[in-house]
Amino acid sequence: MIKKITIKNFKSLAEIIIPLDKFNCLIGMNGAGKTTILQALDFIAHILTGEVKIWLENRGWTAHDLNCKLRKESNITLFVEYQTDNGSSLAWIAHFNRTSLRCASETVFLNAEPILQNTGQKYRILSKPSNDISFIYEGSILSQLKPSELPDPILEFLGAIRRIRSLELLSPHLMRKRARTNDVDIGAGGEKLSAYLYGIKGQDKNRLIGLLKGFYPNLVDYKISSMKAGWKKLSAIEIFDNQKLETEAAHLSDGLLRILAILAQAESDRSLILLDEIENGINPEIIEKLVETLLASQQQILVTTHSPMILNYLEDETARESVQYIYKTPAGETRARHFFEIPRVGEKLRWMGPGEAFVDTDLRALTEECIALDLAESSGNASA
Amino acid sequence: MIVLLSGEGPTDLGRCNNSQGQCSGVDFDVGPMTLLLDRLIESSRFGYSLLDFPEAYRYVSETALAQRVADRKRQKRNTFLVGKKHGEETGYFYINAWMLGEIAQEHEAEANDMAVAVLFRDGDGTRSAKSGIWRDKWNSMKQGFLRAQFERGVPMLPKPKSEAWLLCAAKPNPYQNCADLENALSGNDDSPNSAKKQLGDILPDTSAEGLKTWVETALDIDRIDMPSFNQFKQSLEKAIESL
Repeated sequence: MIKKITIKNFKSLAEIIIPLDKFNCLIGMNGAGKTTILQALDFIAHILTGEVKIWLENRGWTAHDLNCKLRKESNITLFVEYQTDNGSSLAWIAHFNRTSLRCASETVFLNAEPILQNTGQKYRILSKPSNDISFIYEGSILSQLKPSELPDPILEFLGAIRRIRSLELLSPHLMRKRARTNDVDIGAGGEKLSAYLYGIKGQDKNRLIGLLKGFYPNLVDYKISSMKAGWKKLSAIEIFDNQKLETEAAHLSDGLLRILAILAQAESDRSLILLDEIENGINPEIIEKLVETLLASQQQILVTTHSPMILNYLEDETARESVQYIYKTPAGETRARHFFEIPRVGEKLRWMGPGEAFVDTDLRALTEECIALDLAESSGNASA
Repeated sequence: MIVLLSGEGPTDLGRCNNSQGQCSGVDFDVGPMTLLLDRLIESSRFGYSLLDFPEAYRYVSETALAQRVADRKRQKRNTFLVGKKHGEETGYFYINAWMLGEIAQEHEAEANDMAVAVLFRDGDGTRSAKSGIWRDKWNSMKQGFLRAQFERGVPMLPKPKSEAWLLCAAKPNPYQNCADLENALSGNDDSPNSAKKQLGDILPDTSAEGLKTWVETALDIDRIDMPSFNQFKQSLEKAIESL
């Protein structure tokens, strides 16, 4: 499980630490940097798959867009703390160079002992002799080394980070589009949904339909039809008054498509799923079910929301642990704090549900209080 | 008539001495603000003091209100939102009034009598020091009572806190320009112009008992003229008229 992410010098993330639990929820005002955090996680995933250039292209960005304009340094520092299945603590620290699009240096620690080092010119695994780096790569050197060379904990870590899936751009417009057979994975915007669903068969498909029926009781099946030239078309089959009705994706509701995409991912082998503004297009009647599904998911989940209803369906304890308030300093730096650990906000849970406490709080005033707390804590640390 | 009371402690409306969340009669230690309230009831069209009727004043602690909240929170969709009817940072006041209103209705049904509910909270205490203005808090309490469909809810919301009302009578030039006190005093007890400190400088004994004796013997209820006090008085009179 990914325990903590530290990011320095990525867009508005001048320096931020995001502790992660199984379920995580980011709240905050528009422009505070919630989506940037999701983007940074997706960036880390693509560094470790060695696909930085294509990642930038898909987003329409250049490497110049990546660094924080508030800082002088050029490299982006990334630090991921990961707990392996057997409880060991693995840490990956990397300095990403925006010109070469690769990590200028990297170290992997296992229980605080270095097990892999990359200095940019040489790399070394465990206590084996160092090797010259005589090949070209993008992102992390881990993306290029043979699995047989890497220690098991690194392979596990690599697998988990590569299986992060960002759906931060989930858009019904893209989900409605037909896809080609050779598109096997869903995109950040939900594009290629039909091809992705086409790959889900047998028991897995039945499970997915079972889950979907929990949200939309009339829905009995979905169908992926093959068209000319390998195009795949999605339709949903619903029963109204004993009559079957087949509706093509072009005419399905936004909410149904989003729920379908989310459930399909929640049932997949993803390690961490990132969902932006989870409440979009979802009617209040199914919000409780959605929150239950996300909480019960096998994967780690990170969502952002502006919805008091989503938050209100969290138990107080879950809310205390999972909800982080994202705010921006006057200088433009994004920061994070556990929302209900801010004393006067935590006190509100005595009287209100988590969502009620959220809407009852003046977030502008809260941001000023958080900045004052940051100052007090940093001067406290400095004097200590 | 039953009067349901809920306040912050012994130096305002009083407290239960039976370790229970609710009390009346000998279990209820009457506080100075209850005496002040009783004087207003006596001088209203109701016409007499309720202190001689042991079951008339019934106190509900903040803890008892919070316990009731736990039940409400289980119904996840039974929520409140900020909006035109009440602003941000006033949920605490709204929900306290909502819960007290529901309890008042239960007392009415049980006693087959009509009730007035008085909710005391400091207008600008340390508890709610951040943001939120007095008017928003007042409206939130009113709306909270209405959420419980209880019409005779009376906010008792001194600005900045109860000591300001007492200072109006205790200060040099008593009862003169008392409206100014509302802005001149601080609700924060640590502040140099704290209402509590200033009252302590004038009165020899500001314990609950000391304040009660002073309210009983030295305070002329008809001469206090401050916006937050007048609002409370009018709201109380309206509630009594509707009985």
